[in-house]
Amino acid sequence: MIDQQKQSRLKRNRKHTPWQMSMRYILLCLGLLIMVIPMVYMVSSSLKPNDIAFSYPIRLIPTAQEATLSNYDYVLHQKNFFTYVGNTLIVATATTVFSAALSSMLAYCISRFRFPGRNLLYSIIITTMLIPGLAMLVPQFELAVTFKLVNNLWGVILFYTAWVTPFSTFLIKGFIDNIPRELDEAIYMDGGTVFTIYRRVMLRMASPSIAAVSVFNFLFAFEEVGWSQTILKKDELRTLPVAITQFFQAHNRTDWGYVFAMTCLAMIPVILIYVLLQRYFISGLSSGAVKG
Amino acid sequence: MAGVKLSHVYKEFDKGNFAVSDFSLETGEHEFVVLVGPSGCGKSTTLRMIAGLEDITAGEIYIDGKLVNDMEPKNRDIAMVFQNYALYPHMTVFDNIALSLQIRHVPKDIIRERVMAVAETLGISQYLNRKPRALSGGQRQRVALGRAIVRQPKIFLLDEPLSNLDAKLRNQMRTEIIKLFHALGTTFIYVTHDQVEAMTMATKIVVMSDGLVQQIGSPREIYHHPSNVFTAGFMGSPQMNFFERCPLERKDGQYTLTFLGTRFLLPQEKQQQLSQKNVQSGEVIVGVRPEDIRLATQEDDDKVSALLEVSEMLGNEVLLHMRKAQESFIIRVPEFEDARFSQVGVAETTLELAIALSKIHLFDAETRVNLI
Repeated sequence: MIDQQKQSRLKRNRKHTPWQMSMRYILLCLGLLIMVIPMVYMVSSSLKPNDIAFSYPIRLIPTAQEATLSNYDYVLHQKNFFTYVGNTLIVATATTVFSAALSSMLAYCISRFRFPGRNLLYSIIITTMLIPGLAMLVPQFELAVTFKLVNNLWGVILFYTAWVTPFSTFLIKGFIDNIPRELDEAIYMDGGTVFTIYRRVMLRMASPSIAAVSVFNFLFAFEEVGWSQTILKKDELRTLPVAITQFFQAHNRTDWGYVFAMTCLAMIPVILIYVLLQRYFISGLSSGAVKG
Repeated sequence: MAGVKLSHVYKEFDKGNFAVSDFSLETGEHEFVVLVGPSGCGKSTTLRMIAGLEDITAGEIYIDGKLVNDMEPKNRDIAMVFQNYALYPHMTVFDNIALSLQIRHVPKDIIRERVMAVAETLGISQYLNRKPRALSGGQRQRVALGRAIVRQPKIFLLDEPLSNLDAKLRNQMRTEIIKLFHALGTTFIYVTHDQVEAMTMATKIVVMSDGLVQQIGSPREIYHHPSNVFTAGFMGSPQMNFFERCPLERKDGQYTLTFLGTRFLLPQEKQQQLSQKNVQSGEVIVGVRPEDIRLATQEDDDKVSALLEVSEMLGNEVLLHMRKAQESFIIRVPEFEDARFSQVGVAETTLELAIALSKIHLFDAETRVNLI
């Protein structure tokens, strides 16, 4: 029996001829190039003076005479650079924490409790996943004005939290659905409350899915530009992506060297987070999604 | 120490769909009650109602004389052991056992002392720092028991705690649970679909089917005096042989019974029981346990001859699958009775059998209730 299985597996592998395999790798390399070239171009442009950024023929790697750190020097010595970094980190961290708390509680309630309107609530949450946050820019802006959230970091944090919570809830709920109910019941019998279960069981056992969505939410909040540009008008409140856009068409031209230098700097935390937490991207997301 | 009383308890899941109907039971202060029945008979639902994990549709539940219908599970002073252990994988064995005390804010030194004592009793002291995934099935089950014991509750509820274990471990844990029952001196309510567990552990068995109590009694009563065909068939392995539509005749105050193609005059004791109940002539279902049919000797009257189809050697005994006309039945004979039954390929031999008529059961063909 086992031999048969082995053989069939071998057969399946043998199906791919060397020609097929090479086509596969050529396609993969093409995909990789499409992803990597803009990044290389970005880094290289950040090291070139602005006037030769668009020189022809295109050179991905600047010559030794051309290479300069002046763009970085300018960006880093802008008076507000570290304020931008700080704002971005505050927004991203707060969004992550709030959305993790909110979506894990929501997911726990929807997964475990039977209450009138439960299915409707869950359907609404799922439906809102389909609408991109920016599509509701105008009503959201009106809402932000009403609650005096324009020119206020809370205006960014709260709206980001609202945007990412549906998907996070969906994912964490899928995970919680697979946690045996007996674990909750044992706590009820032992004298615990709903909050004991949430704190002692759900937060711990659903942590892979919470970690996965948190990484996503952090990166989302770190990178988002449309909404924060709409409501953050004061320079000292800007986040990094918004700050980058200030170089566009400033003095009737775009200083691409500055744009790319700042983008490179902004990418560092993103890459760090991805490298450090990449296993949560895959394990958390797939387990929640497949089982859910 | 406390007892549990359930009085006409009902549980309705959907409109008109009753998982449990008219369930009444009263336990003593130190009793091992086993709820037994096939899957979906409502035994786990009953246990969960006692625990407070399910609301009851109608009726009353009392624990220690107190009505607990609307009482939260945590206030009922009961502990429950779940089928899948319900251990927290992110906590050590110590924390798993200590959790209920931690939730109740018991001082740390007392928690430590009690957990150590429980671990000692269950022989899991050396695993206290391990996580549940590093334990075997039996050890996990012990931790689950430990978690229940450490609270020193009035009542223990056990929901098929052994069904995830292999046969050998199940036997071992069965003995340990019985020892624990005697050591703790409290009431255990135990749910199982395994009639062997019910027979070996219980002081009182509740046989259930389709949400209804079929019979309540001691293992001996249930085995020897089953109240209906269901109980008779469910308890005992291999199950009781039933012969449907057998004519029972009453003539001149004497009862005769025809089954397996033979007409038997019932023994004196059965005659008396039947006439006391004023049972009239008619068709009955005859139930005979496999051990109440034996190989006939020369002295036996009323021999029945039947065809041997298969013999199953179990070591200390042999099960013989017999056939007579359309009726198939099983008999259990000691291994020494005839060595040839332990051989393979003895099929199609005709054997002479004797039936212990004093031990047969007669059930009403319509109501399927025991007539005697």
